[in-house]
Amino acid sequence: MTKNVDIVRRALGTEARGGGGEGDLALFHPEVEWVVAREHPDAATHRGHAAIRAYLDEWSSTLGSLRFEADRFVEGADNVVVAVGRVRGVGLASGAEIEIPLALVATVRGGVVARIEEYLEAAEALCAAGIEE
Amino acid sequence: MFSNEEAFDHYAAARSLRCITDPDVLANLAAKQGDIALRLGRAAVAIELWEAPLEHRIAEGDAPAAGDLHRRIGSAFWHRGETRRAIEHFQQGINLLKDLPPRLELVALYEDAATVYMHAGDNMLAIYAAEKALRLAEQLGETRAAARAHGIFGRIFGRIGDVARARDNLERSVELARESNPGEHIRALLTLGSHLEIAEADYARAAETYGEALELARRLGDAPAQVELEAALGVLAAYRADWTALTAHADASAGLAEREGLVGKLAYPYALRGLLCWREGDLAGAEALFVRAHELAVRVGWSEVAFWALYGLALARRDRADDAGALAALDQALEVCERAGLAAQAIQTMAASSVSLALAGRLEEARAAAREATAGTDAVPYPVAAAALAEARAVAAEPAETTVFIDDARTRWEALGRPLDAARCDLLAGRLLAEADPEAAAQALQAAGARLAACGVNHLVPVTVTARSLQSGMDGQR
Repeated sequence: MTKNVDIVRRALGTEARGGGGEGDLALFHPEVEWVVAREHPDAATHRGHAAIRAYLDEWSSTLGSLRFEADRFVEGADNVVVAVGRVRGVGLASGAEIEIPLALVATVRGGVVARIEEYLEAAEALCAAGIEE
Repeated sequence: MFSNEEAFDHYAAARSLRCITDPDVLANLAAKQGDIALRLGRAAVAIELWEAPLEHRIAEGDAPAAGDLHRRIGSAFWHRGETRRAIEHFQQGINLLKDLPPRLELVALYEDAATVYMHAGDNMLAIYAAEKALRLAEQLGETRAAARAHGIFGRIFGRIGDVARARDNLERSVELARESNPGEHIRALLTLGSHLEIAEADYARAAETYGEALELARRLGDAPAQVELEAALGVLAAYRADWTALTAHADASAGLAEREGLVGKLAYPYALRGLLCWREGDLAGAEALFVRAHELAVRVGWSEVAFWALYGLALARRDRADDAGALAALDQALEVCERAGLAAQAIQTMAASSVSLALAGRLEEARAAAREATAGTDAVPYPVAAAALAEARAVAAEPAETTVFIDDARTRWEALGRPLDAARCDLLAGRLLAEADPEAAAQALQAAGARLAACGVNHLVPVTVTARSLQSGMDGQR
């Protein structure tokens, strides 16, 4: 595992192939940008730790046992890492088990994550990161 | 007081009055005219009418009104089949309102977004949006909004095959709606009825539920709901081949929709009239009505009725010996199902394609289609889809097993109270057994003729007689 992949994995609180736990905000740049998937009802770009904490709290208040599970990490040029996996959780009111495919394009700068872009399609995320498979 | 057409003209006239200069009043008039335009099925006109009020509300800093206009524009784009643009407007509305104290406009935005996600097959995002709507509704103590959220959960559970959880949520939705207001109560009953019909094939309870909703709609004077409920009861009548009831419901539905100018809603009664034409043997008339019904349903983004119209179109074309046209209609129906996440209907359509090919005598293609339709479908939770799959299994089976699967399919359709579908099983057996067991094939065709005659579908009876005589001729030549 390369250094950048390790940073992204720890920042997101994921273990490759399953797992999923608490992320570590300290591994995000103080002015980190998080671009929510454009299909998402709350699509927006969040900036800074507080906004990202609020965004993730919003998810947690809607879905219980919320976690991001990564199937794989793909490293691209310019310190970009793509984490391909899914968000899992249980609807707090419906009890429905939710599984949303999600790929995160993370840019690492100075040993921390400076930008995250969400994509619902892994192929689109890889393309955005300039990675050909 | 006025029909929708008249109301539309009155709003247009009011907007052109020179004495009305207050931008707030003009914005309200345009917004209301837009509402009527959408009801008339003119989504593009509605969007155009709402754009100016939206700009005005944004300029005024009236976020709730602007958010609600974004919602309406989003819904209109959805009616036009432009899901991406619909979602963009919902997102813009949500962004305007999400940092303000909770309010009903925000709940409605999440609800409409959930509905569009669901129809687009994004069930997970639909649940997420409905969860948010429900949480906000509970914070506001709004039972009406909570009823809708449970309705959305129920519909999604139905689509992903969790029938029991679907019913629980839909019944909860009815309970909550009953406590809120009659309009919401009608809507919740309609959704529950549709679930009982499509997912559970419990036609008795579906009829009871639609009937209760229709009574309420009549009392309330809710014309759009009456049009839809009359048509829904008509479909139940069609399942049991009750042509008198079907005619009455189709006439009531079409009459009301025409009188009220509810153009989009006409899709449903037109499809029913298509079926009535088919029953009379007017296949060209049936085809024209199904095509019209499909066009209207597409125009207003009504996937369930678009599916129904295409399914009927395939039937009419099949009986006109236009096999390619029938299969094209079924392909189109499958696309509708896949796009809208209509799981039960998708299985039924795939099975129907294999049956259509078999009835057209294209047995090798039929078997391939049947194998594709039945792959990995051992425990389908929808009774109608399960019966349709039993037919497809008969198509895919070796001749020695055909009768077993046909009997299974016929028994399932009979148990569901659908005699026309049971008759089709005999027609299918007549075709599938023609080579391997001509005697059994002839008996099956005779049974099909008797069943069709009993159902009052007389134009198909000679088809069974001709097929029998052709087989006798073939036997004589052997």
